[in-house]
This record gives sequence, C-alpha cells and structure tokens, in this order.
Amino acid sequence: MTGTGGASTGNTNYGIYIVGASAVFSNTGTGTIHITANGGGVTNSDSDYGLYVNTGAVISTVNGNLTVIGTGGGAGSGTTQLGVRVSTTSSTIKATGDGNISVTGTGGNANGSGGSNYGVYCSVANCIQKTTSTGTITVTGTGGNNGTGSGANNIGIYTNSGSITGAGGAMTINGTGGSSSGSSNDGIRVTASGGAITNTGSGTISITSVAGGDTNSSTNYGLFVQNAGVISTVNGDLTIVSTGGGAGSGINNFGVFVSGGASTIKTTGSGNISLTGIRGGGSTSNNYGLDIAVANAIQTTVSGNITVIVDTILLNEADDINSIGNLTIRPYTASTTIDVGTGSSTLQLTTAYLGNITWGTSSTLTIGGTGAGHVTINTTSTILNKNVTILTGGNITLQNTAFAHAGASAATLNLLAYGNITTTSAITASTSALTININADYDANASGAISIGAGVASNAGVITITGGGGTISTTSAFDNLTINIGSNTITLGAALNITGGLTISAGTLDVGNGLNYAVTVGGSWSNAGTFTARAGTVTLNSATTATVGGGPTTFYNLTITHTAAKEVNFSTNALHIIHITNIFTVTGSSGNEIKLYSTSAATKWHIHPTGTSSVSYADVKDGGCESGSISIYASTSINSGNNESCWSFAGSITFSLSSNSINLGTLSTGSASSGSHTLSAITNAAGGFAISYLATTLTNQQAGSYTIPVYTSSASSPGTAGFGINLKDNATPNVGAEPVVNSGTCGIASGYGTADAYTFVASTSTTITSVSAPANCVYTASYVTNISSVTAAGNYSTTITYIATGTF
Amino acid sequence: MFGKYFFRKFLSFFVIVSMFFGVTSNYVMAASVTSFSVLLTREKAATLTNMTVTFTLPAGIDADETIILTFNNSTSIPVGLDFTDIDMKDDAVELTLAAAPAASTWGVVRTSSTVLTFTNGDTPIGNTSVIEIQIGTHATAGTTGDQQITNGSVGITTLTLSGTMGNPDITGIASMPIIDDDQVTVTATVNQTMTFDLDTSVADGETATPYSVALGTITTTDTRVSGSTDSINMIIAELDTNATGGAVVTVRNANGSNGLVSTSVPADNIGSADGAMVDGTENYGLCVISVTQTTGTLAKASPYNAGTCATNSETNDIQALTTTGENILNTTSAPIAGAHAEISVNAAISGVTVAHSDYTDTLTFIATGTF
Repeated sequence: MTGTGGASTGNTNYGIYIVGASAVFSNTGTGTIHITANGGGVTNSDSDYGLYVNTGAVISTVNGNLTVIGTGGGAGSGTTQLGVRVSTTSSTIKATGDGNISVTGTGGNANGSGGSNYGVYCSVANCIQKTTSTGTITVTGTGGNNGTGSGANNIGIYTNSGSITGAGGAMTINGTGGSSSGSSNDGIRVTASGGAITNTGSGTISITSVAGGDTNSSTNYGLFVQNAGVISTVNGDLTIVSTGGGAGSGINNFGVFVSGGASTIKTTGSGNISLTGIRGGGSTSNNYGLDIAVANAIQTTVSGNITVIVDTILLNEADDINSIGNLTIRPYTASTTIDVGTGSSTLQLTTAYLGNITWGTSSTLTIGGTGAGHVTINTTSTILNKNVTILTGGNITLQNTAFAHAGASAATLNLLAYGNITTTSAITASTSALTININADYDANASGAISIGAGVASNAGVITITGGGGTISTTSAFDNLTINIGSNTITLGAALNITGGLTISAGTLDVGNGLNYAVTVGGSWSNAGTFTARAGTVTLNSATTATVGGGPTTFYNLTITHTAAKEVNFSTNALHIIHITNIFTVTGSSGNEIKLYSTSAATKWHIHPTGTSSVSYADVKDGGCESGSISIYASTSINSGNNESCWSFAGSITFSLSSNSINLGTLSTGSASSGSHTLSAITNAAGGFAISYLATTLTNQQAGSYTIPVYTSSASSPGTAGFGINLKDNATPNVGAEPVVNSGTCGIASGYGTADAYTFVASTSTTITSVSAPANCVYTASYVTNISSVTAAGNYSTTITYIATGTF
Repeated sequence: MFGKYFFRKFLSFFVIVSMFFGVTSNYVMAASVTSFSVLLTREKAATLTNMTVTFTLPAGIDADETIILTFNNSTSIPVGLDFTDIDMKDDAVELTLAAAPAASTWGVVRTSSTVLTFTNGDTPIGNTSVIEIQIGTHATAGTTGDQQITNGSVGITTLTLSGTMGNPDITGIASMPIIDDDQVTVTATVNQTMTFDLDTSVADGETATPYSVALGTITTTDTRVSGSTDSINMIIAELDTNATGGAVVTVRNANGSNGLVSTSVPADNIGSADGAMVDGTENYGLCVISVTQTTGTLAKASPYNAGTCATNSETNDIQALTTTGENILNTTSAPIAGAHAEISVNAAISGVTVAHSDYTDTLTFIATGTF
C-alpha cells in the first residue's frame, strides 16, 4: 500500500490514515504487507504524518513480513510532522506468526522551523509488537527538521506511554535525532509510565541511537529514558550504543540519559546489558557519555552482567547501576585515562560515584579494559569489599590512599596492565581474605614493570605477581606472595618480609646486586623459578609447619629459626636440592627443636651446604647430602634417622651451677658451718662427663698463711678445723642432698660419695663425679667447715672453679 | 665361546668388586675418633682458658697429613698463639712441634681465630694412639706457653676435628659447656678471740681475786721464793687468742727498781735488779718457772727466757721490775690456746735492810693481741 498526503497548506495531510477498531490492514499465512506512506502539506502545514494508525486500528500479518515506511511531510513553521504514528486504543502494527516487522519512520519538515518531527511516535501500548518468539522487529526512526531546520524535539523514535514489544525474537531499534539547530533532538526517547521497549524470553534488543542537533544545539540525548520509561529484556542481551548530539556551545548532550520516576534499562533474566554511551558534541562540559539521575537506572535483576562503555559519566543516585552479576565500566575511546577515586583523568569514577554502583556479591567489578589509558587509584571507597579488577592498556598507579578490603566475604583484586603497575599506597585486607593478582605484563610482551612501594596484605588470601618484572621496595609485610612472571625478574629494593609463604612459580626473584636484601618468609618456600640469592639471607621463621621445595634453590645464607616448635618439610624430589653457599643456620630451643623432615617420611630430602653451618636444637630426619656438602654439626639436636653422613650429631653437654657464692657465715668452734648449691650436668656423650674442681682451701684474707685445713674423707668435728665437700645428703651437719638422677647413672667419685664424710683437695684439679655414659644429673655440693680455738681470726674465702668435661 | 667365557669372567669380577667396595655410594663414611674430650681450665664465657684435647685415633696418621681443630661459638684463638703454646703427645710421649713440619716434627699453624692446623712431618702415628694436645700456659714442654684461647659465648662450644689424617679421613666433634660463671666463691668469718686470766697460788689452780703473793718474813738466810717450801704463791697467767699475730704479756710494778717499798716509811725498800737470788743480798723480782699450752707456743719473752727459774729455788735468776713494763711472755706471733705460765716471785734482804712489816709492791700484767 502506498499513500501520499496532499500538498495543502492546511494541516493533517496524512499519507495513510487508518483509524478505529474496525480498521484493519491484515494478511494471513505467509502473506506480507508493505506500506509506504508520505505526509503532505506545504508552507506551514502541521501534523502531516506519513502513516497514522489511530484509535484501535490494526495493521498485521501472521507469518509474512510486515514493512512500514512512513515519512512526515509539512514545511516552514509547521510542527509534528511524524513519519509513523501509532496511538490510542490498542492501535498496533504487529505480526502474530513468523513474520518480521520493519517500521521506518522519518520526521518531516526538512529545513523548517517547526519542531517535534518524530520519525516514529508511539503513544499506545504494543504499538509495534510481535506476539511470537519467531520473527524480528526492526524500528528505524529519524527525526525531522533536517538540513537547516531549527525546531526542537526532532526525535528519531519516541515512545510516550507507548511500547514496542517483542515476544522473544530479536529487536533492533535505531533512532536518529534530527539535525536541527534546535534542542532535544534525541535519537530515542522512552518516556512516561507505559513508555517502553521490551522483549521477553530470550529475545534481544539492540538499540543504536544517535542524537541530532547542530550549530549550538543542547540537550540532544542519544537515548533518553525518562519518567518511568523502561527498556528491558528477560534472557536476551540488551545492547545499546548511543551517541549524544549537539554542537557548538551546546551543553548536556548525553549519550544516554536516564532520569526520573522508575526509569530503567534492565534485564530480568539472564540477559546481559551492554551500554555504550558516547558523549555528544558542543561544549565538553557536561556532555556525559552516561548521565544517570535515578536509582536502578541500569540494572540486572537475576543473573545478567552489565557493561558500561563511556568516556565520561555522571552518577547521581545510589544504585544508579545495579548489576546482579558482573559490572564492567570501561572507556569508549582508546587510551582514555581513568580515575578510581580522586584524580583528573577523563573518566572519573569518583569515590562518590563508586558508591552509586553495585554488583553481585560473588561477581566482579571491572574498571577499564585493554584499550583503556592509565588508571589512577586513590579512593576511600569500599568497592574492594567485593571482587574488583582494574584493567588497562596503560599503567596502574595506586597512590595516596590505601586500597582497602574490609568485606565480610573473601574477594579478589586483579591489577592487570599492559604497562606499569606502581603502588605507593598499601593494599590492605581485614575481616576476610583478599586474593591479589598483579600483572604488569598482561599483554605478555614483557614491557610492563611492577613497582611495589607499599605493603600488600591479603589477610590469608593469596598475593600473586602474575606478570611483569620490576621491584618490590617495601619492608611492610606481605602475608604471602606468589611470583609467576615468566622470564621476568623482580628485584628487591628493600628487605622482603612475608608472614606467609613465598612461591616463585616462574621468573626470578633477585635480592639486589650489591644490596643483598634479606628475605623473611613465615610460611612455605616454593621455588620453581629462579631465586638470585647474591649475598643475602633468607630466613624461615614462623611457627607453622612449612614446606620447602618447588625446585632447586641456591641460598647464600639460609636461616631457619623460631622459639616454638616448628616443622619444615623439604621436598623429596631429587632435583629440588637446597644449595647453601655460605651459612646454614638452624636455631631451635631445648624442647622446641626445629624438625627438618622430608615431605614423605623415609624418603630423603636433599641439602648441599658448602660454606659453614650453625645448627642447634634441630630434629633431623631423612636428611640426604649432595656430593660436596660440608659436615653439618647439629649440636643439641636429635637424629631421627635416615640421615646421610654430612649430618653430624655429636653429643652435647650442658653444665650449670645454681649459685656462684656460698657464705658459710661466722665460724664457730662449737658447731660446723655448711652451705650447698647444685651442679647440673647433662650430656649424651658416650663416655659420660666428669665434673672437676680446682681451688685452694679456705684462706685467711688478712693473713694468707692461715688456712683451714682440708678434710680427707673426714667427718665434721666442731672445734677441729677442717674444710671439705661432698655430693651427698648429710646428717652431720644436716646439709646436702642425694644426686637427682634424671637419666642415666649419676655416680660420685671416691671421697665425695659418703654421707657425713668430706674431702677437699687443695690446688689440684680433682674429679668429684663418676659418670661414664650419657646422663642427666643434678648434684648437690655441700660445703662443711669447722674451726678450732686457734683458727686465726679473719675473713676466709676460696674460689672454686668447676669444670664439666664430656667424653665423646 | 670365548666371548661368553670372557663375559662370565668379567661379570664375576664385577660382582666381586661390587660386593667388596659397593657399587653406589655417595659417601665414604668418615672414621671418628673415640674418647674425644676437651678439658678446660675455665668454662666461663669470654674467659681465657687452657685446653687439653684428648682423643683416640681409629686409624693411623701418615706423613704430611693434617689435623685441623675448628672451634665455633665465637671461640677466639689469639693471634700470637703458636706452637710454643702447644704441647702434643702420642701415647703420653711428647712430640716435637714447630711452625712448619719437618721430619719427625709437626707443624702447627693458627689458621684463623677459630682454626688450628697441625701438619705431620714424616713420622706416622699408629692406630689406636691416644693423642693429647695441650693449648695454653700449661703447655710446658720446650717453651712454656704464654697464650691462651678465649672461650666463646654462653652455650655449647664444639671442637670439630677434621683434616686429611687417616684414610678415610678421621673426624670427630666434642662439645664443651660454656657458662656464665664457672666459679663458686666460698666465704667465712672467724671472729677475734682473746682471754687472759691470772691466779696466785702455791700450786697450779684457779683462785679468786684479789690476787696476792705474801712473801712473809724475809731473813738474810732465807730468801723467799714461790713454792711449797716457803708456802708462797706463784703467779699463774693463762692466755687464749686467735690473733693472727699472737699475743704478748707484759708486767710492770708500782715501784720500779725500788721494788718492795715500806708503806709506813716509803724511803725504805727492797730494791729490784737483774740477777741471781742470794741469801743476804737484797733483791726482789720475777722469773718464769714454766710455760705450757694446748695449741700454739707460749714462750718466755726476753729477758725472762734466760737463766734458771724453779719453784722453791732460792737462787733463781730474776729480772728487775720496771714501772714502764717489760715483756714477760709471748705466743711467738701466732694464735694460742691453753697457754699457761707459772711465774715465781723472789725476795731477799741484806743485813741492812730496814725492818718493816709493810713492804709491798703492785704488779700489773697486760696481755696484748695482734690481729
């Protein structure tokens, strides 16, 4: 059908006008309908529609395609020259079977001054509809007033309380605003309650909208969803590419503007939303790619993801963008810089804006993309309480403010860059774990560099440097660290402290040439890459059971220590050799020996120390020795078996005195004076130990020629001068105790092992014990002295040197 | 046929060799010394000590082989320590040491602050030999040592024995406890004591004060002297002291050389002068009859240690009395117990001695200890 309105100066010169509930253009079966309608009117004629479907009229096919092409007419100051209008009382253009619908409307009044020349105007529910899931809907609307037109509101497609509805088939909606110098030449406007573009089932909607407006035109929105307008799908993807219009000094030419009421762009099933908002021309101020002034403006409610592609954005309300799944915000234009928080980049995701977006609890917010420019992170936002990925083709800089995770649930932070990643502020984690991946070589061309200059904490998460070499120059502790950087190298710029484990999956960790920074690891050590030890020290120092392996490692100094019990299990892989070129140190403590075991009992691990060793209070088992190993003397250590010959467990000996002074007081001829202290000796020497003493007898300090005579297996006799010791529990006088035998046999040498009999040998080293096998003994040395009436007055003393000697 | 035979022979040889030596062995186990001990003279940390290292060899030491002693735990061998500070014995037989090995001489070098290296000359040491190495000032063979090793820190010091000695190499490790203080100082006090007592009695015995000696009536034919004959008291002095310098007893009289003076006519007296008593010759004085003691030595002080003196003897050699006092007894500069001295009082008159019944004198005895 083809209709052309008359060339009258009067109004309403429609190309085709179908009106009333009984007015029907229909076809059945596979029959098609093709309508071409051109509005008429000249001079200043108004309302010269191409096609006008009104008051319940119906145009329909079943399985055949239905094509409508309407062009508005009019001229001059005439307004409302619509290409296609469908309005009131269930008026509709539809296909009820497999047929496709294509509606193309072009507003009229080219070069005129009258505005509101819509390409397609829909003001009734289901104005264009598919009732089955087969077949597509394509609506193309172009606003009028083109050329030198100056009217306003030349909208490509305008649904005003009207809806374009699909039922599962694909929908393509293309709206282009008129190129008038007037304002508000939106590509597509969906407005008012009932205003909608919707699809159901798995039907998709693809919207391409380009706002018009030239000269200094303002408020030309590519897509304007207003006052409870709705664009939605269920399981089908919803794709929007919308470009703002305007030019010259025009302002507020947004790519997408969602405002007022419950306006929303959404999916209610599994459909994803991809929204590209391209800011319009005119003044760059306020020409946002996306401007949202209503909550839930862009939302997925069941499982869909949202991708927002914009160079500039304005988010004014809480939950402006509300994704139940992942949310991605990235620049439209390559190399556009991004602020996450405070900054001066083009795409500014201010801390306030970040508070107005949300995404699924276990989903991810991705900011940037591989085409993005540099990203600066400087925010107090709580976005890191959930998963966040920062992705850029440029650099990432974390500065000024700690990037904090304090969420109740574990989360992941990915910092992924083609360029460099630099942190001068910390990444922190509290309450729950944060998995951190840092990759400065995301394009895998070895061009990016990492510079970690502040602490990185994961709260028992995993910290992985997944690409790019660079430096770590913070002494703040990592709680774990994995380096997986291919053939790149991480060089230390400060001592590296890791409270958890260190894993070198690939690449090199270099402690710094000439710098030799220390590496302290509280957990396990796994090195499948390269560790360049230079002249540095690696310390494994936590109380937790740790493993050492992953591959061979050459340490310069390796220190394993902790005050509490600790177990270190070394890999049994024959290639996982622990080379130590300088000092191998293991320092446990009595009762808290550090276990040096293998990861598989009875299978040897492999050590190759070539410098020196200092091993004490270790418990060694399955210790294999590589050729050329030095002899490791493990003092005060336990040989738990299956150790090769580089391990030496020569006996230990400890010795202590409970007191270094005995004051016998003022001596009397009437009674003996006595005192005692203990001598403790422990040894595992095969030949036991001997305790000897060397001293003069008690000597008068005022007149050195006067001494107390010594006893020789003598009893104490008050009034008769004498001085002696023994190691027994004595009755006369009541002093001393029997030896405490903690293990072994604690014998006493002749002269010192009879109660109440005392001996002292002056000035000759004399052995007082008799122990010929490993033992743990506590002796009580008793001192007894008596004086006679002629014992010279004065102060007497002697200093006795006790020596314990093991026979190994 | 030849090939199979050769293979069997070779296989047999291989098996035998394998059984004897073992085919796969990463290590030849080192032989360890036995009875390995290190005796120190001090075990206090950071303290100079002599050291005696003793061990029994499990195998012999050949010419040119080395024994290396390595200490740990911050033990410090002084730079100046050399072979003169070390003695080395093989089964108690001194070996000759020098800075460098030669013939039967061992060379000894301080390799570092923790390492000493001994190098054999050309005289092997046999299996099971007991080696003793003395390091320090007790190394007196040849030149006496003047350098000592300084102990390390509190803990356990190990001495590791290594080197090329033996085949396989002989090794050993001995431990030494190093403690914060290895000495016990024993102190005691003996207070000063001194007792002195006088008695006056014809025979030995305790008497009460006042102490007096009544000489009775003196005639020119009867010199009066302590003893039972004249029933005249002797003076008994008893002394005990633990003074390191002993004690002395002095005696002085009230009248000096005037001796016994008449109370009623003080100008009349019986003078006191050194000399032997003789009837008819006026004189008055003391002599010491005897000195005894339980412990120590009580001696007659000069001049009382000369002449004769006995009870009842009227010819005793007496000493003149003075008012300034004179030593009469001493303990030979040493403590004494149970000191007991009997002192005789002697008096005689001449024919011109004025008769009075009130001749008297006062003797004062003083005991002084030197502590």
